[in-house]
Amino acid sequence: MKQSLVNSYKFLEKMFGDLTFSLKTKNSKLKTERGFTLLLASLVASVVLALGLAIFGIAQKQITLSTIARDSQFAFYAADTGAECALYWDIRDDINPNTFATSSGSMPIAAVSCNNTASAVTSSKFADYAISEFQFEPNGYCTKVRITKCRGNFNNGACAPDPAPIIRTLVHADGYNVRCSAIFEVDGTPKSTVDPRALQRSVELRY
Amino acid sequence: MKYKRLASSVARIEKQRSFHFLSARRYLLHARAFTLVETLVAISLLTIAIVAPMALTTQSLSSAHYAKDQMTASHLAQEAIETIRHVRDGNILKISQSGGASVNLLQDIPKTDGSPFAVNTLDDTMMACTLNNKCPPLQMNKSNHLYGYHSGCNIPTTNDCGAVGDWANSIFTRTVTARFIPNGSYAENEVRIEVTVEWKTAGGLTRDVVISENLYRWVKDSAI
Repeated sequence: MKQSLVNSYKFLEKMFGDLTFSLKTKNSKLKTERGFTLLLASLVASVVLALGLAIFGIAQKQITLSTIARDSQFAFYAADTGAECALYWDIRDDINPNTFATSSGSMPIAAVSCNNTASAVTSSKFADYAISEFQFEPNGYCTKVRITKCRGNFNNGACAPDPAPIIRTLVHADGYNVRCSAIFEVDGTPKSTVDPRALQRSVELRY
Repeated sequence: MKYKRLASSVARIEKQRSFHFLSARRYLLHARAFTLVETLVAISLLTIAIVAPMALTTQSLSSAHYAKDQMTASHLAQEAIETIRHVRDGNILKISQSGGASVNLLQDIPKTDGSPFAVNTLDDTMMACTLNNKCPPLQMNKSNHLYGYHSGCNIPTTNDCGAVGDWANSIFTRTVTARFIPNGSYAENEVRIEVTVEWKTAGGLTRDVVISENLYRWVKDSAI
C-alpha cells in the first residue's frame, strides 16, 4: 500500500513534471514570438497609411489649385466686364458725351449704367489729371474701375504733365471672385481683413 | 498513523499537483487564446489599416481627376468667351477699316434670347443648338488633341455629332447663351455671354463650370 502510494506519487510527479517542462518550453517560445504579428501589422499599416495620406495631400493641393484657376477666371471676366463698361461709357460719345472727369472738362456724369444697375461715379480733379471711380457686380463678382484722364503721358501709371493738349486715358479695372461687400467698406475703402480665398485680377487699357 | 500521515501528505501533494495541473492547463489555454486574440486584433488592424487608406486613395484619385477636368473645363469655357469676343473685335476692325458703321458688332452671335448655341473655336463658327435646346458633346481630335466639332456636324439638328475620322465625343458639353441687358434707353448695347461647360465624373456626378462676361458695343456700329 505504502509502496503503491509512493509509486503513484512518483508517477504523478513524473507525469506533471513532464507537463510542466513541456509547458515551460512552449511558454518561452511564445514569449519570444509574442507581438511579432502585431508589430508587422502596425508596420504595414503605418506604411499604407502614410502612402494614403501623401496621395490625399497631393489631391487636395490639386483641387485647391484648379479651384483657384477657376475662381481666377471669374475675377478676370469681372475685371474685363468693368473695363468694357468704362470703354463703352467713355468712347460712345454719340450716347454719352463727356462721361468721365478731366482736369479741365465740364461736369462729369454722376452714374454709369452697366449690368442693368446704375453705379455712382466718384470723380476727383487735379491740376493735370482727373480720376473717376465706380464699382458694380456683373454676375455677382465685384469689379472696381478707375479711369484716369491725363493731359500728358502716363509714366508707370502716374500722370506726367505735358503741355501738348492730348488727353490720354488709363482704364484700370480690378475684378474679384467675391462680392464687393467682401472687399470694400461702404465708403469704398478696402477692408482691412479680407477672405483669404478672395482673388483679384486686373485689366488695364490705355488710349 | 504512519499510513494516515502518508496518505494525507499524498493527498496534499495531489491537491497541489492537481491545482498546479489545473492552473497549468488554464495557463496553456490562456496562452493559446492570447495568440488567437492577437491574430484577430492583427487582422482587424490590418483590415482597417489597409481599407481606410485604400478608400482615402480612391477618393484622392477621383479628386485628382476632378481637379484635372475642372481645369480643362474652365479653359474650354474661357476659350468660348474669347472666341465670341474676338469675333466682335474683328467686327470693330472691319468698321475701322471700312470707315463707316456698316457692321453689326454682335451679328455673329446666333441667338441673343438666352437659348443655347455652340461655338466651334477652330473656325470661329457659332451655331444654335435648336434640337431640344441641347448642344451636342464637345468633340476632341485624336491626332492634334484640339477640341471642337467635326466639319460635317450639323449642330442645329443633332444632339450627338458622332465619331467621324479622328473626331470623337469628349466628356465635356459646352453650351453658350447670350442675352441682351438693357443699358439706359438702349436695349441691345450690352450682352451677357454665359458659357457652361458640363461633364460627368467617373462616379456619375454632373459637374459644371460657368463663366460669364458682358460685352458692349463700345464702337458705334450699324445696330443704332
